[in-house]
Amino acid sequence: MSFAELGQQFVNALSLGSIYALVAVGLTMVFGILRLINFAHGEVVMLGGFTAYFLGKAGMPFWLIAIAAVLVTTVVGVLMERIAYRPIRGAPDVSLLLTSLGVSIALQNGAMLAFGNQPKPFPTPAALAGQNQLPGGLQISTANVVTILTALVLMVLLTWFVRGTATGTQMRATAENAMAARLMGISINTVIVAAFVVGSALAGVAALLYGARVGRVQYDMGFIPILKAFVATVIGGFGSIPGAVLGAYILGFGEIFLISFLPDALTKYRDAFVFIGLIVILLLRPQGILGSTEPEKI
Amino acid sequence: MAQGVATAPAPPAVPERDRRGVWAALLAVLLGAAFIWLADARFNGYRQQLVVLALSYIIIAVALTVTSGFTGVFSLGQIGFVAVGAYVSALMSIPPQWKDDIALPGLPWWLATLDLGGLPPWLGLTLVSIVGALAAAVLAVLVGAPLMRLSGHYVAVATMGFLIIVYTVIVNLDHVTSGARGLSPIPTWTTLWSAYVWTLVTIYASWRIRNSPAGRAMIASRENLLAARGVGVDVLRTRLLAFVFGAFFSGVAGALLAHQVGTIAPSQFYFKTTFLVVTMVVLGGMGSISGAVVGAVVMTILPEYLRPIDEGFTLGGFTSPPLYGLSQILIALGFILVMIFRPQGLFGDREIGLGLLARTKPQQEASGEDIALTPELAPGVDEAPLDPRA
Repeated sequence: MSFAELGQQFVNALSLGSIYALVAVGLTMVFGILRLINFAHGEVVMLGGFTAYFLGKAGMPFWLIAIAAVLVTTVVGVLMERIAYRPIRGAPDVSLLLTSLGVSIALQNGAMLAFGNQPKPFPTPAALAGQNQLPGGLQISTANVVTILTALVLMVLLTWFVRGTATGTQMRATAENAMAARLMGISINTVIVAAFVVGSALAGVAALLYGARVGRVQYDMGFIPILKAFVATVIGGFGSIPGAVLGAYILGFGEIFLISFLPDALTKYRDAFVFIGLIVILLLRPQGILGSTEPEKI
Repeated sequence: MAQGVATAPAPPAVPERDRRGVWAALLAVLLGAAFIWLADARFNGYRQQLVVLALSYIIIAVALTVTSGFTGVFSLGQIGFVAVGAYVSALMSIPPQWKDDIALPGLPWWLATLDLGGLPPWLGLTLVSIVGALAAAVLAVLVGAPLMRLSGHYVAVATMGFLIIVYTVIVNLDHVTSGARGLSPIPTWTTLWSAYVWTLVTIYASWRIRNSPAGRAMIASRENLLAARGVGVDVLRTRLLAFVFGAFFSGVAGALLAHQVGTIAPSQFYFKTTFLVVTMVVLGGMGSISGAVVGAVVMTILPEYLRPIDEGFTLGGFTSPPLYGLSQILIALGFILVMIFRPQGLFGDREIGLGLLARTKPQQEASGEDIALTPELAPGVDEAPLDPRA
């Protein structure tokens, strides 16, 4: 593999990891507070994608599409919490997980019913479609650059939110000990809604970047991002935000370089390799790289 | 394995209060047989298929009840074992000349030339079902030995990973499995009676295991891990037994399904079916064998009755696949409502009998804790449930 190819794959992996990270943050934030693995988070991404498709068809400029998509995903996330997850709060882990699977299936089929099962084109703006020639024969797409930079900016903002604002501090306190947080006068509901708002907004951004990457919108487009975000969260440690981001980039690099280095006959099995890796991590270090709570093993 | 549990004098094989239960069970078996006889004689082909489908789902749901309901170790990988049973049995039963037509160059010669066509169909089906189920069980030993160490959602996640791996392998190993196109034609050997007999075997085996020391160890390790270990339950072996048991009968169900309509595809054995089976078990009540049976029957019949609702939305007289989402949505919403308002399902982990002959096992009051892990296993929220009104 030449240097240029290596560089391109590097950027590609960084870009893929960025998208996974944006999805994974929402997953891990909600998990940290509610112990809920929110499978329906992928459908939040999907609905962001459809918002972009319909507004693009209506001829809106992309910046407006972007704002609208993020607004829609935020509202969807908040509604999801209010309608499905709030009534079963505190239920056993597995009940929470299964409920989110139910929400996911309802939304997916709802989208299929409403929007059809054929893929629709994603309204990628012309500014994002270009390729950039760099010295050394390196060719990098604008979409990748924008993806990486957007994720970087959002991660900085997220760090500021979690570390520097009152809500962020309350969120961390709740994740650490919900009972103690409540005794300190923290409104659990506010914190949970905040987690869904931030997570779903990031998922909206991820929807735009992912849509631009794959070029199409479909009722089941949330499935792959949520599975990958989920693996990223396991790698990094459930409930840890930096862990999820780290896990997302590890997964992005692992995937891209698996494709590059594996013999062709094996590359189609890459999802199997990813999940074998996931199982190995669960067995060897189930708390993940940065997770703190040691889960019980027998 | 659970000798340590038997600190109390061993109970008689059939306790007094269970006598009525035995009669109720016998009556149920006879009524079931009468129904199958009626279905065999009177139902049209489509309805008969539906009955076989319901019986297969009963087998899978009861198997999952043992694997997850009894032990509290939630498996989302059950359908992976159904797939293994289906594919292994189908690759055995398809006659060599048909295999040549499908072109499966990856098959080893002994499988490619295996010809069971000379056997009577019921014997052939029994044979391939058992081999398919054994294949699933062996895989379950290999997969379960490490995974059964995990608890709570970690085990759900890991078994889901197993399902994805099985799916990926079946889709991509196309020189053996024929890939995403699916495998067909498969001899249609499954009959109403063979499905019924396998269903009875599954239910009887599950009932026996529940009332055996091993079954009590499973339930003990679900209710309180530390206490179970304290009285000498080998939790890992107990869970593994339940996992392998569930895999075996899931494999049987896979074989029955494969030989029913004569065609299988990997997409049949993925998330949709997983969710359907989970719904059956949760609806019936985790840990209740009869609950799983009722859940499976309801969730097989219900979509059929919902289908006209889907079709009611078709315009211009043609049916297009996208409109078929509605029944799925209704099922998913129903599932969420069950989770919210009756998390213990219809029967909790109690068993039902028939009407007046009802034999209600003296269990602890059914509660949403049925699939909960003990507090030691799920620290945090379980100890401090968040009040929605707070």
